[in-house]
Amino acid sequence: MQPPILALASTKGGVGKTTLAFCLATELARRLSDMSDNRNDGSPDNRLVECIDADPNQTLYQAIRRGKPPGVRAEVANGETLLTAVTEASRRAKLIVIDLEGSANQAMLYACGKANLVLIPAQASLFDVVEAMKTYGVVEQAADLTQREIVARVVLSRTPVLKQRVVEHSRKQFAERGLPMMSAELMERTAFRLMTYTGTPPWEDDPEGGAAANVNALGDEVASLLGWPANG
Amino acid sequence: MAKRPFDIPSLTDEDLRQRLQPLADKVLPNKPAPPPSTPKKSRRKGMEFMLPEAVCLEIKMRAARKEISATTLMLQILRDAGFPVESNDFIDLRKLPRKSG
Repeated sequence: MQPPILALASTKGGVGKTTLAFCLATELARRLSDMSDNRNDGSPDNRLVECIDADPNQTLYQAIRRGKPPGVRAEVANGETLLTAVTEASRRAKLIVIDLEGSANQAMLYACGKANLVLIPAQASLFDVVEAMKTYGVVEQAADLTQREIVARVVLSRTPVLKQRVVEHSRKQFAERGLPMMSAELMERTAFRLMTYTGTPPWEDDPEGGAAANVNALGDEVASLLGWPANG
Repeated sequence: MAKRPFDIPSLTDEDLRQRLQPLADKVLPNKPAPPPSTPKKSRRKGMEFMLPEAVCLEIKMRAARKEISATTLMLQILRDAGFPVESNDFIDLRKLPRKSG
């Protein structure tokens, strides 16, 4: 059975794609490992989630290589090799997460064409509203051309822990332009910065912390969009 | 044909590429044209000849009359004699002498 493909896309850089990709890959791998038919048989190459890093900076790839989060492996790809990498990953993993460069590029088109779910991280600013619209437009056109339904959601990223009016205003701006949004947000947290150094997911570093709760909420919503059973 | 959620149709990678090509043409920035190829001179190597003094003088005088270097003159002569001298080998990138005064 073809594993679901989750793509993190945006035509703009610096919106939190890689942070969100790392958080979701590790969180969803944890959930997959809790499912009885995915228990690790002791294999060193326990590959529940395979991340394909199509960003030339390879930040996600390096973080996974460094932290070795359980059940997560990473490969690198570019516009030319992405489709082959997805095909190969489909044979090994239960979920594929594709992290993309922050621009309109060939890898982004192919990833959107293949994905079941495209998440579009965006910060609370008008620049990001505009870029999210562009990205959402690409996903819609890819869906039309491939005759598939590709679910896409905007995820507000780097939002302050204390609620600020600008975030609510941005939510309205996205909604007014018809962009479907996730209710969970990727918040601005020190734990996410720390994660880039350690390569360790927040639920492993501080299971009771706010960052772990944030990732859990994101995981719940993404799992629901993927049609997975509720975490529990 | 109705779209089906969470179902990858049996599209080959090549099919997918072809279907997405109109979108690629629309949204991807145009690839920049390759830079024009710059002519390349053949690699040069020094050789030494012992020629009669009169011949050396004549080479220098003919080159001066034509306002070209002695090397260029020699290359012209060699090319006319059937040696493999390319036109790029006549490119002289040396700086012009400064005007005095």
